[in-house]
Amino acid sequence: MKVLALAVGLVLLLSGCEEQLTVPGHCPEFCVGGLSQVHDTVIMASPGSDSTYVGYTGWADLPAALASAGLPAGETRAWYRFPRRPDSVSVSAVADSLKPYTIDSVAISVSLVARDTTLPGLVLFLHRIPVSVDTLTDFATLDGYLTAETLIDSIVVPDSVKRGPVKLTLKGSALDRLVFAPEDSGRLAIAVRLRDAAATGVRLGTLASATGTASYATFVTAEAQDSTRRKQTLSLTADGNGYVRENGAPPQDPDLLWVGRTPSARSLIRFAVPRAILDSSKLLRVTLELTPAQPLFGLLTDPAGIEVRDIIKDIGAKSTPSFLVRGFQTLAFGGSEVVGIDVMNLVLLWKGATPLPQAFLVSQLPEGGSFHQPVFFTSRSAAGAPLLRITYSRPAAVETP
Amino acid sequence: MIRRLLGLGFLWLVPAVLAAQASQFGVRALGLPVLPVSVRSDGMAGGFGFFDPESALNPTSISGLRRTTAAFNVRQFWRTSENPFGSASGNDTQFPLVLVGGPVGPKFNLAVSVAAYTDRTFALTYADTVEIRGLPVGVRDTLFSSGGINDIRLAVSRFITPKFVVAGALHALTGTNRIEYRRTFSDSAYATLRERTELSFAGPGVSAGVLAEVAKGLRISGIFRWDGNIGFNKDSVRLSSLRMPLTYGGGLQWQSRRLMVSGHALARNWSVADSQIKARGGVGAVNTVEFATGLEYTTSKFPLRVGVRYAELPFPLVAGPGGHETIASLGTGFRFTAGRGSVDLALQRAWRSQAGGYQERAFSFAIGVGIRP
Repeated sequence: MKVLALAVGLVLLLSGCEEQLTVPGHCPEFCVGGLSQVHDTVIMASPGSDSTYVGYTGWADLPAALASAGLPAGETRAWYRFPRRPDSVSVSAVADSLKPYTIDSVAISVSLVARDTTLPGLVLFLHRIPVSVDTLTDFATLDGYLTAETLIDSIVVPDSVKRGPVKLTLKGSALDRLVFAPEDSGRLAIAVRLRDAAATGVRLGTLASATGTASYATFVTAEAQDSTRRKQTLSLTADGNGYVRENGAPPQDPDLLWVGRTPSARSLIRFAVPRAILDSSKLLRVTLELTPAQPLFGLLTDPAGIEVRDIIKDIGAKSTPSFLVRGFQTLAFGGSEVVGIDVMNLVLLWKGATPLPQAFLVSQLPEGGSFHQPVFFTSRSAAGAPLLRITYSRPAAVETP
Repeated sequence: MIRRLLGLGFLWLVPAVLAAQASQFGVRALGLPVLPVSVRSDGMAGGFGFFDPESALNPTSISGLRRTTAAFNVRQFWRTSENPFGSASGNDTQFPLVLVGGPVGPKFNLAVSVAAYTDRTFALTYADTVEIRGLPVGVRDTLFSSGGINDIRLAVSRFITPKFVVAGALHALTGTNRIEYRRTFSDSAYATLRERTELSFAGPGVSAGVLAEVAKGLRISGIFRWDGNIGFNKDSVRLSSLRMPLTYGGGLQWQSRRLMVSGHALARNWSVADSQIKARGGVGAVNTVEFATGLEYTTSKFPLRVGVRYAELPFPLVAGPGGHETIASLGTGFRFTAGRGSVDLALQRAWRSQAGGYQERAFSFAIGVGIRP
């Protein structure tokens, strides 16, 4: 029995050996029945069925405010509006303990979301602007307020600071620039602009951004018996923010596809891919190609991108995007080259028993608050219509005996 | 009876798909034919197959089973393949034969076996450059095939006289062939292409044989086998069928007290499938013959076995003359526990070639275990 056990063990040992089966081959000699053939085809967007819809990410959800100077992407100015600052402070726990104060200093802080990290010597100029500025204020009006008389001061941003808060502190006579007029009702509004020799821009934090919006703190001395209550700080966070853009007009030409901007636009592009390709072929690569109608300008080292999603049901502007998969392509800085976005994983959802509609919802990322404002040709354009470039393979005809 | 049932149950432990050699000569049509013999016969290059009770080549040979027997083989191959496009070395393991059988009464013997008939286990790689989207892109194709056709046989033999045996067998040719085609691109933007296909085979067959001792120690045997059309399905869809060859052959054995010499010749008219294979885009099929001879010399507990075999291959890799193989073998074995257990060992060297630069050299080491409860 020991011999039998040894033999069985040896058999098991042999059967457990790793197999190496591969031998070299070549076509046509060893192409057993023929190899797979790769095909390449172009499917144009369904004529007249691509559209732009506006109003997705609004001012309330603005992820960043823009300020720039001389940037090819466009001139922008950021603004912040703060709530009313109290004109007295409480100096004890009992009622009627509010006392007037004198201001020792003021610190205004804004938060950097992004800057051109290749450009040193960034300086932010803070201006006092009327509290009536809001999201309806246009560029010319706001820019008109930014004069030498309204200049509060500037913030020299250290080159080492890529993002995060930067602060301006005002003391003594500089506080005169923050004295409220009666019509201000104790409220402060500021604008941020750049005046660099080199063209650049910054994106600044807002109420909806992760880095937080602008704030200002007033350090005061109150008329109080209790010395511990004399020195107090009044901290306020902006309750309104936004930006104006010289070239930020909302989408107007219906024969172009717009994405991004604020409020943001998205474009719906529909296709009709033959079932012979979707169901009877193996997709190898699918690329959505969009041709820019104008150069793609943004902020260097702060890339934006185009995001493409399937839609669950095609109901126009309110089509629900699918969040299963997405296509994404970073936009180039400058130039008008065709933007190619790999969307094979999205197109795969167009096949099967419950296929999704053959349409893409195209948006910009970040949506709103980006220097990029891509505009693409449509199926109605004379040239450069959106297209799908599909590389696929027919099933290989493996030899059957 | 319980022992027999246990023996039959042993068959269930064996993988349903048996396989033979993973050879480049198995890529065409039904693949590479396999000689369904035991490791004892392997040690004699198959030359003992016509008379070996534990082989499945000749139904009359089961008359040599003196008690219920279960036999199981395993082979390990190490091969080097060469063709005009390169060379590669590899190894693989196969389970070519399982047999359970024994006497049923004084005159009858019965055996059930599962043996590899042809093998389509191989993997081929191709490297090329194709133009996609106006740019050259490197591609690497791998065609992997696993499986083949198995021969399930139920054989019955009967002693007409103590020196004359007739036998018949029913065969079911069955099996599956899993094929995977994979293409990878040098540009990772392109998805890997992966296609899987499963071919399944089914066909009937019958065989008959005679075995006679014509003089003291001298036996002769002859067989004839007919296989019906083998049908094959692709992913459960019936494709078509293929004509299978007639097989006929004869063997001769001489045995003295210490020396046993045997051999056989077999012929198959595979060309009956030639037109069908060509019509489906294949290269075709040619008739084949094979010769094998071997001897077993017993002076101690460990007999010495040697043999040589020459066989033509039915499915040419490329148009032209078919390939052939030559096998030389060396083997031994021993019995223990009063002959109730046996272990056989065989070492083979195979040379296969076809005109055009297609060659293969292989070593194989086989172990056979026999149990006679």
